[in-house]
Amino acid sequence: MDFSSLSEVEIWGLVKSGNQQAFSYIYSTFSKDLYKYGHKFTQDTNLIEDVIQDLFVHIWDLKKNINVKNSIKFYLFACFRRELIKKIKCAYKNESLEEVHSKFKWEASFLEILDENQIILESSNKISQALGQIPLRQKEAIYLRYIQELSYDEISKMMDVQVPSVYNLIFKGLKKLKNILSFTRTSTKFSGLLFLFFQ
Amino acid sequence: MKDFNAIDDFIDDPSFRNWVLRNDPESGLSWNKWLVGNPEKLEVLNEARAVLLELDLPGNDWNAEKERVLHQKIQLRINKKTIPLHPKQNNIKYYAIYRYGAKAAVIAFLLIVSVVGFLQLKNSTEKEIDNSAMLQEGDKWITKSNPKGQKSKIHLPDGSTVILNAESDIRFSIDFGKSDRDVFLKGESFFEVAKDSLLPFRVFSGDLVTTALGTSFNINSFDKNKVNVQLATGQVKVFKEKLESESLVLQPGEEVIMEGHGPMIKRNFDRQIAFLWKDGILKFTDVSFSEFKVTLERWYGVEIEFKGTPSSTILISGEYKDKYLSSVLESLGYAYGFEYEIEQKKVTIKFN
Repeated sequence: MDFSSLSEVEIWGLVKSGNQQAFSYIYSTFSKDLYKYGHKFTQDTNLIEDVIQDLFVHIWDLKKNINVKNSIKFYLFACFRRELIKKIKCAYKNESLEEVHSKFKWEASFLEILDENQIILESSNKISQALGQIPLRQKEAIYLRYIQELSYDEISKMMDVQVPSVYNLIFKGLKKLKNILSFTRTSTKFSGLLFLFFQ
Repeated sequence: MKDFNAIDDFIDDPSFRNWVLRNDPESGLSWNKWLVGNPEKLEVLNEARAVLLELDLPGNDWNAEKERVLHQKIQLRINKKTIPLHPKQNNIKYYAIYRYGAKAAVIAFLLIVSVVGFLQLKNSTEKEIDNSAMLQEGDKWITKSNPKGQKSKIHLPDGSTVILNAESDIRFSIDFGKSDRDVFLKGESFFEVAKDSLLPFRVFSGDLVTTALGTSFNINSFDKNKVNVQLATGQVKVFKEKLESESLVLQPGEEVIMEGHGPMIKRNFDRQIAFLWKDGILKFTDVSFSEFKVTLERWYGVEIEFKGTPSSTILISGEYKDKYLSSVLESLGYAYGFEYEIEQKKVTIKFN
């Protein structure tokens, strides 16, 4: 059966009636996005996978009581975020909040990959350092808006803030990113000038 | 196109994201065209591109294998609750169907797993099986069976094939291949399982469950007190029904034997002779006369009567490919000292 021609509401209707194929389709459509989103909070891939597993088992169990109005993805992301944060807090409950925060990492994995492959990619490095300086909530909002393409309304519900605050988070995050990048751009030009001067 | 000056102008543009994140060729073409007219914007465009890629990067180690393994874990937990395991304990209606083949009941599980794909079965505390689904779906089973003396090849809906030995039957749901790939077997079968990354292929045989993905395997369940699972290639997991936590993992050339309700024993077997039957090769390796009789009866679909007493110490060996019963008996009778008579489906063997 070709599920891609059906709307999310129709697919969810099939899942509700117990159709495991439709359920598998949802899994294969969104599991990667969830996994990647999970990396915004932790690098513990086992934990992320466990939460995805629990999430889907839960949804199957409760399918009769779940109403999807228009977006399955939003529903999955919202539940996933809640569960993951709960699990992370639980997993690190004996550590201080600061330690927990240091585990909410974004960039190290990329740097590791570069390092492993001995790729020297100056601009990406610069970008990843710049992204590293942006507050996590701003970065999460940017991620949900531009990578996962959720609506402002959906993001506001997920992150439990008002819609204007979502605009604000994204605006501030991008502004800061621009500032950092334009600063590094100037300094590169500047060092270029110095170079000319010494020649 | 509107003005693009800063990175957020680019990032905010859906076609830009389509190009960078999803490699959409149409968007790519229009952006390349745009760059030709705006060469001074290359640097900021590249930054915007790098920001998107960087944001999208963590978690890129997700792959088909991870997806499959996780999906299996989910499927297993879900199926624990919805798919009945062995119906015979709890369901009288199907008990009858089940017993039909049960008089044959040695369960030897020969497994040839040709595709690597080992299932990590999740230990679960949910040992209770809900049989209500079974009752509701009562009419939806397909049963294929062979009498003595007949083998057949069956094509399953998912593209798998089964070579079903004589005096054997398999049963599966008409929904086979949709929500599960569960087969219930009595007797012996050789399975060639079509690859399916989502649905594990499970064979329920006596008290044992064998699970594999994209597998070819042979199951022999003729002795009601003995279950034997033999694996040729790949890897499978075997467990007693409802005791999934105490499973055994088989490597090629290993077998599991379980007698009665005793423990599962793992040991090696000879792969050279294990799967001969499906190619029409009848082979005896040091078998007693009584085993010889049972094997011939099943193979040729006859009834054999002994006259006189066969020696209890003589063991019979021999190999026959696509031979008539008469030529088998002719050569063995000469070697082991008996005479025979074949009258339709009745065979008499006389010892002197």
